[in-house]
Amino acid sequence: MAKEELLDKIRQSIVSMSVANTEAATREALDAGLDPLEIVVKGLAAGLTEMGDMWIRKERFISHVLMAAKALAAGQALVEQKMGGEEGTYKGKIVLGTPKGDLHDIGKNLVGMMMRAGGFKVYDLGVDVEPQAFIDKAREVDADIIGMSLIMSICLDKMQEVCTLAKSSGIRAKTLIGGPPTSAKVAAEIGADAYGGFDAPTAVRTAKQLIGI
Amino acid sequence: MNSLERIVAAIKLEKPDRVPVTPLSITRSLRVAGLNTEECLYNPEKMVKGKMAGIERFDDDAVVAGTDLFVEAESLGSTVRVYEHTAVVVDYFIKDKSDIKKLKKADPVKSGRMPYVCEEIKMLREKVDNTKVVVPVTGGPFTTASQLYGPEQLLIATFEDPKWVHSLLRICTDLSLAYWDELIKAGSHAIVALEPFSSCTILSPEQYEEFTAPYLKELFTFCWSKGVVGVNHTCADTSLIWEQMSDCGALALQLDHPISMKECKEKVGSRICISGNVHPIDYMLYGTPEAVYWKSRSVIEEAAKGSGFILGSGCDLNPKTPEANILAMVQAAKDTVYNDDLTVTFIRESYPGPAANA
Repeated sequence: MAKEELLDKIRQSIVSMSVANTEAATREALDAGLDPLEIVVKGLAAGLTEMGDMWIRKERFISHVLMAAKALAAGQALVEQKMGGEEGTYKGKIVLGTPKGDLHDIGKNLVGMMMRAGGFKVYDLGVDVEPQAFIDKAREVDADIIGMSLIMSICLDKMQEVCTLAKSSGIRAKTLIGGPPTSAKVAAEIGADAYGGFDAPTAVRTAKQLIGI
Repeated sequence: MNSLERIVAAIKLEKPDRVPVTPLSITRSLRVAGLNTEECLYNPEKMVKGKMAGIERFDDDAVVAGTDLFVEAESLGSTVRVYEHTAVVVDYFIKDKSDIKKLKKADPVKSGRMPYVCEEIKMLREKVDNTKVVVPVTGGPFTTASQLYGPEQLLIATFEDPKWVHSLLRICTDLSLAYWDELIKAGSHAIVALEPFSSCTILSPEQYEEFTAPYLKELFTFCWSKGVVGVNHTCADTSLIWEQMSDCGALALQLDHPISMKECKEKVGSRICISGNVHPIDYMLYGTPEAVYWKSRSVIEEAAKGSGFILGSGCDLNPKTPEANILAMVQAAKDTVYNDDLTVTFIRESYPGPAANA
């Protein structure tokens, strides 16, 4: 089977949300000697990005994207076995988390998956993260972006604290916010550099714009 | 007309005297009495003191009992903690699907916070009788299931093991039916089922039909059989499921800010009352009172004609929402008059300022 056909098969298996088909297609591509990085970028990640585009068009929904992401993770595990810990190249680095007080991680996890599919190295700090921890991690890894996702509006104060600290601490990371209570107006109010939109694919596009790629 | 009569008229698509208004100042009300969520959650007396302070200050049309949608999940075994003034689930009970067999046997008369909410309703009814609408918020079955197994895990299970998801939803619905029965006995005029995890941001319309609608239908049919109004509250985007939401047996839909009330009104407004949808953050938390007033008027212009409309915020208010903004929303509703042909006239041309309802 031609290379393009093998990659297309992986992409389609992600879009059809099948863990088994994704594993089979990824194995087939690896056995045929395809470049593991190409399998990730043009097969697995391309499938998830296509899923994200359909989500924006309201043809698919978060439930589908999560299922597709599970299929992607299964394919990715096979590729990583082959690569043996070798790191790929990244377009940018993002530190991700939900601010102190917010324990909801579904939005953050979706953004993390789509960011990885979009070529970012993601440092996921999890939920309920202290403001200073975002700054410390961003400094440690020399991150381009600090991404925060929020469900509970009461935690906007903590989000604001991170934005203020990011500016005063001299790190170069820009702040990107998202989640149901946020908006462009909220970003302006709390001093965030950008609002990532109502969905994860828009967050990825905004992140790319923020760092000029 | 008093508030109850006004809201009943709106729900029956008949003529209210003016536009009814419910800003959803749930935990925000407690602050009016100088109370916080932590001290009220397990103390109905304090909860009532806070809610009454809110309704007396804001003079809106409904007083909401309870504060959150985790009461049922907590009763079945998930751990709830008050975090930043809001109750949240911090540990999902079901780690493995087999844990479904270990869910706690919940009794609405004595388990978790269910008896506290019932007590709150009884006391609120003693205070407001039939002048204001007393309406508890509850977790819808799909949302309760998500708080027992975790939202991501539940959503994946809808594809991988739908039969198991239905068995979990059965348990959640059975508890809700028993709980709603007690809420009705306590004196609720209406009951809200909160279903944030059933929006068409999260579920497809087909999944809504399979996993949400049948169970909500059971609940709304049950409460209407007792003469109590069901309210279907779904956060985020619902634009693809308005028809389905309206077919579940509720007599009102509560809608969040990302949707067009005008489009919703055109689609389902001739058969069901709709409520919403001023942005709870952009306007209610961060806007000026004047901006809230004009935004509220524009929502009224979009959806009030023909009755079947209650002005409100898209979702519950942040506890730090400025008092003047809530008053501005209520003022916008008070500045309307319903005409006999069910059109709405505004009684003033300009924003009256905070003095009008001080």
